[in-house]
Amino acid sequence: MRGGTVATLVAPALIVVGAAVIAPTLWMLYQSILYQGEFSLHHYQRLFTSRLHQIVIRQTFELALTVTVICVAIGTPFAWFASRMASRARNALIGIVVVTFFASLLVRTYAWLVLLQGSGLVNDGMIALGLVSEPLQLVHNRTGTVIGMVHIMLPFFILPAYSAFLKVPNEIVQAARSLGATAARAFLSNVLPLAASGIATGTTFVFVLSLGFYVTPALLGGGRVMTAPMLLARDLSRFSEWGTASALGAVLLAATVGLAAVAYWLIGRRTDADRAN
Amino acid sequence: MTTKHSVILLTAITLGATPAVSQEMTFASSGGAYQEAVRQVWLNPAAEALGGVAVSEDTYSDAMSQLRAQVATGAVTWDLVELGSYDCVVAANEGLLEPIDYDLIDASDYPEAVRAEHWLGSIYYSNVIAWNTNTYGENGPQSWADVWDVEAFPGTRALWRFPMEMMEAALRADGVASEDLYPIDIDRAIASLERIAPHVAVWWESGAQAAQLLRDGEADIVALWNGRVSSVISDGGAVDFTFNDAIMNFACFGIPLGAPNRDTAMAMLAHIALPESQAQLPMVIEYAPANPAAFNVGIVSEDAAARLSSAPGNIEGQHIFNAEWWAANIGAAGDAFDLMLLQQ
Repeated sequence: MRGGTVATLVAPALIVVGAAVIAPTLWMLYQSILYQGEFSLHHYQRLFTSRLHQIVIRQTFELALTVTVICVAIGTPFAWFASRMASRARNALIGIVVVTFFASLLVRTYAWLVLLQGSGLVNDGMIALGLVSEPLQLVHNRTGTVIGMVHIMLPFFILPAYSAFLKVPNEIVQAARSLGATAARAFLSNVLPLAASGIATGTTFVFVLSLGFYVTPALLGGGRVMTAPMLLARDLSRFSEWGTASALGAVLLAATVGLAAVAYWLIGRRTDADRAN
Repeated sequence: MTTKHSVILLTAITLGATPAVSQEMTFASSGGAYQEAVRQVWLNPAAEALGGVAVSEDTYSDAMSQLRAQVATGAVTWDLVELGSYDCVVAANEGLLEPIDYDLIDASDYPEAVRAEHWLGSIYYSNVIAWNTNTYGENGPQSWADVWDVEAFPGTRALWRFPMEMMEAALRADGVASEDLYPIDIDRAIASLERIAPHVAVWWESGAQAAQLLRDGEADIVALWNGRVSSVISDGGAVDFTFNDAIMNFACFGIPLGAPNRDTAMAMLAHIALPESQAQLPMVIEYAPANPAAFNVGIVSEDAAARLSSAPGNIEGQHIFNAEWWAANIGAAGDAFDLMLLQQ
């Protein structure tokens, strides 16, 4: 394809990205260094000296890390076993994962609220079965928030991990086993390295997207969980503090871009190493 | 103001029909059943009285951002906007609103708290104490001190996850007199909130969520807006509430700076502010008119009045929200409130 054609085809997308992403981002960065009409690091200073902002930023990262660890722990075995099944069972399992994308995030969050609350299905069921005598506090706290977020984030991990596992031939496992490896050893030493890029992609997706949660912690956290986006919304729409909100946005953006860069660098190295072998 | 006077004013508005007044205007509010009610009982009759003004409507998602953008760019499309009390004060402070023409609009019956140079109250609503009747029967908590008294009223609480109205409630629970609520003693309010926090099952984020907590019995005592409580009750929820000690808040009308049909909006507002117009709103939706004279024109029945914040008999034990204080102190109060919650 000639250069001119490429440029013509790419131009509309570039214009949209420029107008909808790059320009507002630059405007946000500009707002973050403006205080009472003058250039100043006042908003960043506030961000790093206000206890509220520090606690919220820490809590946001802790929450994202917890959700990521759980998604990897649940998602990896699921994706692996799904990838080893006959095609019909496989499609059914992955179909179930994909179907969760069809319901809106808000609906799924409210559904968890109804399921997990004191008189909800989960607690009533456990009491009926005699597993617990008092309803457990499953929601309106960090536990409920993590449950809801894991449910929403799991497909973002499973799908890339699954497609990576799919490319691992069965013969690899058989060869390892025939040489005396246990199933666990074969998985850890042979399968996992081959699927590493898919797992890393899924992990990055989950972690980065988890930093941006608003509705789920707001509804399932019972008011005791506050994420950076919730603080942003508060600063913006309720307090009209554009400067502080922009500075917080800039810090989140830098953290996200930094993490994504590290992840892609690791994935890239991995892929190069695979090719070299 | 007597009925006779309002008829004269009405006629004056209609006939005086200043030729400069345009025959179109745009009204913006938060939408939903509420805006439909406003259209039916306030906008349409006022438009008719002015000789058939064509009223366009807009529904905002983030009123302040849109208002700021309109005024800043000089592309003002709203002629009359309804905002929350806090937003009205902020908008006025930021110079986003035209001054209200009180020669044209008779607001003499309006209490001081709900009229200002740049805005005029539209409706009242109250953050009330609601309770589950399966838990307490008819004898629920009658004051914020009762809500804070976990021995007399054992059970879980749900409060709003927002400093406004809740700090006032916390101070009342701590024994602050109604007239001493403002300026709010932030430290004292936070200390009071910390005492009740272990008994708060949920700090709710939205009115719909709070209504669900109340309906499902997830919380025994809920601080929530009276309109929401009423709909839970009419849905058959085992719920009762009291206006005693409630924090009374309000919404208000403002005219954006540089509104293209400013004079028409002003004339519309003059009609809407009449006691006879004000009295029509509770006939279609459970919100209380900002003009207290609305209860003196024989339109609002006693039954209907019993459910309205500002009705005689309900208003006495309540405290009117001071939006001016909040506009000046939201940063400090908001940070203290959120920090208190995160440390629970």
